[in-house]
Amino acid sequence: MKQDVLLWIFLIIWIGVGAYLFYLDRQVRSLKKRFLFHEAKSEK
Amino acid sequence: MLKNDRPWFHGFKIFTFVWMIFVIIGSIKVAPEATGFVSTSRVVFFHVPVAWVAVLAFLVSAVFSIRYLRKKQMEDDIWASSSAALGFLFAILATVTGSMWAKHEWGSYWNWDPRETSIVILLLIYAAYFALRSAIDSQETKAQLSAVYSILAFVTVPFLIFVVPRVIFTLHPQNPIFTNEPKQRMTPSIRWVFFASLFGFTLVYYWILRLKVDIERIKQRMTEMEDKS
Repeated sequence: MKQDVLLWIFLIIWIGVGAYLFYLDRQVRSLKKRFLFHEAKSEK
Repeated sequence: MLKNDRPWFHGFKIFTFVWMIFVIIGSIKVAPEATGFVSTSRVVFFHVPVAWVAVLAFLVSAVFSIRYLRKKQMEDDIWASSSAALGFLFAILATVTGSMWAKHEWGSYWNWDPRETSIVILLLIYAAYFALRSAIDSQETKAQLSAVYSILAFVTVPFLIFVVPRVIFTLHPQNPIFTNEPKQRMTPSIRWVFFASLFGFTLVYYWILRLKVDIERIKQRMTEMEDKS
């Protein structure tokens, strides 16, 4: 059981941080697209 | 406008990713198990860096809050609130990982040890920061009040993290880097991996912080654009 501790902690941190980074990265991309679209629209 | 569009940021992401791969390999393959622990000492490579990042994030939040109060620029409020959110997240990670470690070393997930109690108080203090922000509609008032609160909240951080656990008896392992006890001191290989992990997690923190700041900037610009049209 004790041998699993590192693995569990490793998984919690990395899956959590990795998923959060992925989510933020996607959010930046989609917001950027929306922003550029709105900017182009307002310029017209 | 989007700082992660800069070429260096892509290089930074790749560097951080590769660095953390080396940290993971180092923590499993290079660093030996410390004496006195049964396959649980390697937790130090993950638990301590996330706790360090939490303190760093709260410090950055306080610094940008001071900047906001001096210059009254919303950009500083974005940095301060984003950093506080990350500090909160990493403090939760430190609590969860510490609790799992405690189950295996002390026999239960929660023992109300001074370190455990102080991190709970810290989490409550910063939870109130977000409650305060969500309760105010006006951007300027929100930024101003939360800047003051963030500075006051950070005053408690050194006390709760560094003073309380050293004054009151704790089961928590003491600092193995600067200890005078040769048996408790980190071996060179453990120390290398530990500091590499500290550095790596600091890079990860900066990576996430930049993304969060970019998101808030775009949202703010879009709101301004909508208001104009």
